Amino acid sequence: MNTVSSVSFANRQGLRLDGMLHEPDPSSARGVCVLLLSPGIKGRVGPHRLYLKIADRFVSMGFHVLRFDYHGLGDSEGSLSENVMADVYNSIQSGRYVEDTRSAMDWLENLRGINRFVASGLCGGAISGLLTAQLDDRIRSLLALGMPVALEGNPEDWGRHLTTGQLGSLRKGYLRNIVHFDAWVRFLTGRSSYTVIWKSLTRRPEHRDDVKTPDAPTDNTNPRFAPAFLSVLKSGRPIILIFSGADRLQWEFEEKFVERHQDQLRGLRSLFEVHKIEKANHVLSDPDWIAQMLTLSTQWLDKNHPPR
Amino acid sequence: MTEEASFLEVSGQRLFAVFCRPLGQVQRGVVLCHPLGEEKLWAHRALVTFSRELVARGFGVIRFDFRGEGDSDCDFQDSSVETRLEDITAVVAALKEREPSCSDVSMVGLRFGATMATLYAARRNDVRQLVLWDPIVDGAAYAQSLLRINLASQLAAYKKVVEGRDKLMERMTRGEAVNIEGYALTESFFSGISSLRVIEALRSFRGKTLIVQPGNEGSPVRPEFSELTKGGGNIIVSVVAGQPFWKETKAFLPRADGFAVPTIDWLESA
Repeated sequence: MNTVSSVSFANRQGLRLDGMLHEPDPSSARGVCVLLLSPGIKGRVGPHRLYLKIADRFVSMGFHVLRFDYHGLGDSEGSLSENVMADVYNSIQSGRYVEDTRSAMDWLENLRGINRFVASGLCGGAISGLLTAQLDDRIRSLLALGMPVALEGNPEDWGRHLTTGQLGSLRKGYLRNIVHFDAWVRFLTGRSSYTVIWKSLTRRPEHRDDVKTPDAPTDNTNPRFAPAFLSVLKSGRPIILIFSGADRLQWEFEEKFVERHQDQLRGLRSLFEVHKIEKANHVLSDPDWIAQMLTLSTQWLDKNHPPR
Repeated sequence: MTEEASFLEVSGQRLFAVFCRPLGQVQRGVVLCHPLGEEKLWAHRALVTFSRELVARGFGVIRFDFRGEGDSDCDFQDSSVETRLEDITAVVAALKEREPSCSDVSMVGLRFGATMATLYAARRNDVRQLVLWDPIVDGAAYAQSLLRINLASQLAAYKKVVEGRDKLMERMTRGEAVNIEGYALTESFFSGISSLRVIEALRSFRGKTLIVQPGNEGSPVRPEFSELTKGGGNIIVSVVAGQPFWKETKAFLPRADGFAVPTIDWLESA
């Protein structure tokens, strides 16, 4: 019988982290734990309890699943000093919770002797998993949902770092809106993003993708992303990326990472898969989108971590 | 301070709860009732921080996840107004069992959690104080606002409304659930919410009530809250300078600033 227990353990600063451990029936256990890493503010359950839905599926396959709240968030101890949400997100994308994740692995290894992990999560959880995997080879693979490549900007300058793909999509939207009265009202009353409209019509992103030094991004690309991603692949550990069709993140992945690192990715292509769920929003709030994500995830898990 | 997480049994299902208490004597027991859906997730950390602030002032606190939410059992589509009342009943009983000195309790609810707390308090005689943070006072209007979330999601996904309000109501009547930001809302829960009116529940409550309205200093009391004070009963409204920490905001809001201090002061003095 599968079980779910409330658990707590200390991180490396001695702060208590609270979580839930899902354990499979011992007869079906694969001896691998999926770390469902918190996306951040919405804690260990994830948006609309997404993580419970995912955990239920994975534990039925024989995986242990651990989900927990990082320090300063959810039920865990500690506090964060930021006042702005974007700063919290950026701190997560810069590796704030790598050590908490390693503490979780230490704890479960001591408790159950499990030392093989799949790092997984949505958004901030995915990037935390990637950055932890770079440092800790107990993480054998990465299952990344909606993983960001770029850092959060201020909402006021959202147009500065748009990719060619994003501008193309915006252009189509603006041209569709030509026949809509409300759109003209917004345009004529100063409520439109005129710079972005101009950019989309002339297709000139602020920062061109043919930067001379891809290792030192000059835009809002997370400077930790590429080294971590390439390091994990070069160590032979597979990655699956599942993106949502309605958000910008796949464009950013393709244009701000893949295109800039084509030479380094040559020979590593077989180790990572990229999938898109059409029309899905960032948090996969529709049951059909969740079903598609679970199908992709479970097939990949079976391939990379088969039953014993 | 000690914090202990556990599962309570309610109708054969597990309800996740965290008991928080000071090391010494407990002054009074407080039950925290969270809001609905994604509001709960945005507000969670602020409610956790608030529970710790209460404990620092000598209160024993229980915070919990209604069944169908958080880490409690049950799918959201199986939850209802009735299951939520059962949950509160179980939580209050558990608090009293752990703290025998607390023969009555105080309740603090946020948004729809405040509505549920009021409904519970109106039916029982073991609630001494009720604090309602931006309560949902008109269930029918709130239920309609939940449907609007679905309509907004359709616009975002399909650039148009594929199924209007009437179609969504038809689906619920046929026994299907309507998706509200990932939560499956059924006809049972929808009609249960629609029938709620806090003013009627407050008329039956014999204890003291503090309504906390977020706003700016000097803002007038909202008409729906003024109306509540006219129904008789010991009810006051306090307008506080506080941001809506139950929504997605640009600011990071890990504390219920503006709400916590007046609430704790009132709980201690009332």
